[in-house]
Amino acid sequence: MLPTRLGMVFALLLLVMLLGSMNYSNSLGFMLTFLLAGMALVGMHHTHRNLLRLQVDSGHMHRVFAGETAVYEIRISNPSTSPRFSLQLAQTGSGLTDIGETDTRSLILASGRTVRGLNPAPRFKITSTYPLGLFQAWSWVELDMNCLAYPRPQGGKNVSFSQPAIGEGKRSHRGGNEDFSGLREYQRGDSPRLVHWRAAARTGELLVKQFTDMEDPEHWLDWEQFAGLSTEARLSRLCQCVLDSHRDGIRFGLKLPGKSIVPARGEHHRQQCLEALARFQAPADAGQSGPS
Amino acid sequence: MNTAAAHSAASKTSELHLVAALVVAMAPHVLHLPPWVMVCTAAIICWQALALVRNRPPVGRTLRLLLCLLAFGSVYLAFGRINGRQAGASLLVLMLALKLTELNSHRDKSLTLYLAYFLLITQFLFSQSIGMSVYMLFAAWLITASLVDVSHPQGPLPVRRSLKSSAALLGQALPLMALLFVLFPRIPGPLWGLPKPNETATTGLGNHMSPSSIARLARNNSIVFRVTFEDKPPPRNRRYWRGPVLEDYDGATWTHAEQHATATPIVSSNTHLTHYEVILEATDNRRLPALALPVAGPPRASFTRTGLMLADKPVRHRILYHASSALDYRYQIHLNPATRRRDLTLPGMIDPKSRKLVRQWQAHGLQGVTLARRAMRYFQNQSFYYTLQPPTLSGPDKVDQFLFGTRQGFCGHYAGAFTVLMRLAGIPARVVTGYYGGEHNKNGDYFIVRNSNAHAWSEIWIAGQGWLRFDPTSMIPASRVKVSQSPAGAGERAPVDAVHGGFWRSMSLHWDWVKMTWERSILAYGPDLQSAFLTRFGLPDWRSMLLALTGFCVGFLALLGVILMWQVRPQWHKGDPIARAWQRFCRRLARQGLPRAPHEGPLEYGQRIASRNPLLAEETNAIVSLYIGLRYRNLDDPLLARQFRHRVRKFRGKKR
Repeated sequence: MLPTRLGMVFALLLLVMLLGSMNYSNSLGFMLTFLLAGMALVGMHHTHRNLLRLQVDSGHMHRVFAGETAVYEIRISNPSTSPRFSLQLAQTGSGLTDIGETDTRSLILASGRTVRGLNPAPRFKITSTYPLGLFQAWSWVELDMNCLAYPRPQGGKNVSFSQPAIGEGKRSHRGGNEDFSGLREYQRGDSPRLVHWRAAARTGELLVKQFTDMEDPEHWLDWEQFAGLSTEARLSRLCQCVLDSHRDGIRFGLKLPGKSIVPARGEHHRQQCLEALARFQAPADAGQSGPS
Repeated sequence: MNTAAAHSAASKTSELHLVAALVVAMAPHVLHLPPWVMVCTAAIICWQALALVRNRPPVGRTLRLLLCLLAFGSVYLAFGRINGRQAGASLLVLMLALKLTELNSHRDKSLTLYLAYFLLITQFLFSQSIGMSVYMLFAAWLITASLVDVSHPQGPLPVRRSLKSSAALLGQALPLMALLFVLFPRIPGPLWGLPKPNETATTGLGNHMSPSSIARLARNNSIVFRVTFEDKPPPRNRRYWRGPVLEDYDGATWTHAEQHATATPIVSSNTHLTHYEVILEATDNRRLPALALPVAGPPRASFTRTGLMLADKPVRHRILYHASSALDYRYQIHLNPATRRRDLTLPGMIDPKSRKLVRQWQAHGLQGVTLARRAMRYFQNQSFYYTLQPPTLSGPDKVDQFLFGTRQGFCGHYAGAFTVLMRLAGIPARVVTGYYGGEHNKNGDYFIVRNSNAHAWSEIWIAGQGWLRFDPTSMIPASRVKVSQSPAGAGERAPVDAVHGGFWRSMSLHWDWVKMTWERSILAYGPDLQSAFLTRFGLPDWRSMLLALTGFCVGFLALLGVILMWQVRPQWHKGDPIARAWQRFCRRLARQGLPRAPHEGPLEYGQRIASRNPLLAEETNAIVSLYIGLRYRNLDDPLLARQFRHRVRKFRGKKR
């Protein structure tokens, strides 16, 4: 608990008022001065109370691409029936929030550039100067929480799949009418190209075309495709491929040393692949295999 | 400027609240400051309020600077200075109004509000009445509410909330204020020069008495002092309040010469003393009114040869003091020759008729006290009238004219004429001015002495007896008093309360008692009263005061801290019953080692439970779907709610 700069100015004002009251022997001047001094002291307690007993938890883990600012979701709960006002995460400089009685609010803590992998949250401060702005109360919080950074996407626009899947997949993808196996319900992340719009117009339900032959040709994104590059560069290129393939609605799998994800499609799959890339730990010998 | 565009409706509201609080704080200055200041201020504030309402951009920097310089210039031209009470307050009011055009940041707003607090204290330099204090507390409440609002920059708080917070802050500060007020060590002011009050000079008894001076006072009903006696108050005819003693006479005017004052009173010991407490209004001179003959006064008081009690410096503000007086006294049994000569001196051979009269009395063998009594009876027996509008006396023999011609006058005339007669008879005599009587207030049992109680009487010196008081005015019978209102001297003998009876009079006496209590206990609380008061509680010096102050403040703040902490105790259960039941359900599962992650929604959580412990799946799913229905689909169904709470109550989660 420290006075703010405005608090210092206020203290100076009180001093001037005190001297004035002494000079004029003005009893009511003394009274007003003392009332304001008392108010400042009481206000200090109120500022402290504004932070007291708040429960701070980590929220969802945020995912960003390496090099972007790390973002953490902080959930602050007020277990009491007194509402809290103007709480602030010190580092961000913005994001004042109020928390009503027995309510919970999320604040976003942004801090520093990320590197690929898990970025642990820094120690941060929750501050408040409410209700008078004369004192600032703060509380240091250290949460065991991370921001996951995917590799930074990098590389050409064209997706290149490892053999032998590429040729076959490309050919049958566009004209595979005879391989059409049926319709299934739309899932988030399915490419709009695969939506059976006529069926949708008829039934009002979004259905997605399924191709039997697409299930089998295995489009693999493979670590070994980018041999000769550094670990991070390989991951970056794979990341770009994952994003592009997902965008194009291609069914793909991912092969990393020690881990492979079977071909699939959809948002969940994309996230799974990106997470695998993000968390990838280079084997001791695979790391610097190429010139970098 | 871009900020103008960014001024959201939200910040506009809080700025309008700020302006309103400021207007309330400024309003009473209308009573004391020149009209042009208030008109300019009102114009600036209206302009700014309009600009806010219409979303016009604020005044530019150059214009603001020009207006500031203009304000400084006008104040300097009008008052010849920029400090001092009136000039300073005028400048502050103008600057505050101008500051309103610059409310861009949180800092600007806070500083404006701090200055508004300062504005409140300047009001107290003009008035310290009860009404003003209540109004100022109200203004402080509004200013604080605005400060709370400003400390919530993300948007205006509901007005009720900020007013409530402000009331809580000020209310909880009141005990601290009381502690500080009583215990904070006071030092005698002033610390630097006080400006001369530029209102009309305070009226009161002067250093000389010309025939008109007391008549002017007699029409002035303002209060000079209030007195509370410790024991039974002396009767009216003994309540002579001593003021300047006039010894020098030039044939028209009696004059008081400044005298050397010593710390010891002229009478030091007496068998019976009357103790009393006086609240004296500002008089701008050093005289402290005292009953009959003062024997002991407040610390640092001194006493003159003629029995006048003096303060160590002019009384520039209301003070409270205790004094003791002797009602039956003998003093200066031995008169020194210089004083004797002085108190016998008359200007030349004036007033031949009076001389003849005195010689007549002496021829009858009268001398000393008997001659004085004869002179007193003379005023009673001859047709002397008491009036505040006597015919003017002209020419050299004024006493002759009065005694044998007009025979109309008031206390000044009678005391003057009597003293001249005594001197003619070779008895040392002098005129004493002061106050007589005073109005009794049953509420609080004290006496109010006003300027209209001003009076003059005589003292003569008799060998072996010292100075004796003679009041010739009191010899005029009531039938020959020609004034309607209660005047000094003879008219005083009619009980005032009977003259002005009725409800309003009793109300005004009640109110005067409230004011007197206010003045006694609050306004007069200074270094002297503080040390007198606190010594009774064993706090004689500033060190012990500070110690006690610190102790009490820390104690109070600790208590407040505990209360505030209790206010924010966890009370999840105070939420609605559905949330409470859901919490209970989660707690039970947590005890099974399946706590809900903070970010997990009910559906996710239910699925996780079901997959971890399929035995619980059915029950969990039922509870979760009920909860989701009640909470997120707004199925406000009391039956479902009851079912939900019932299921949670039954849920044990022990199936493994």
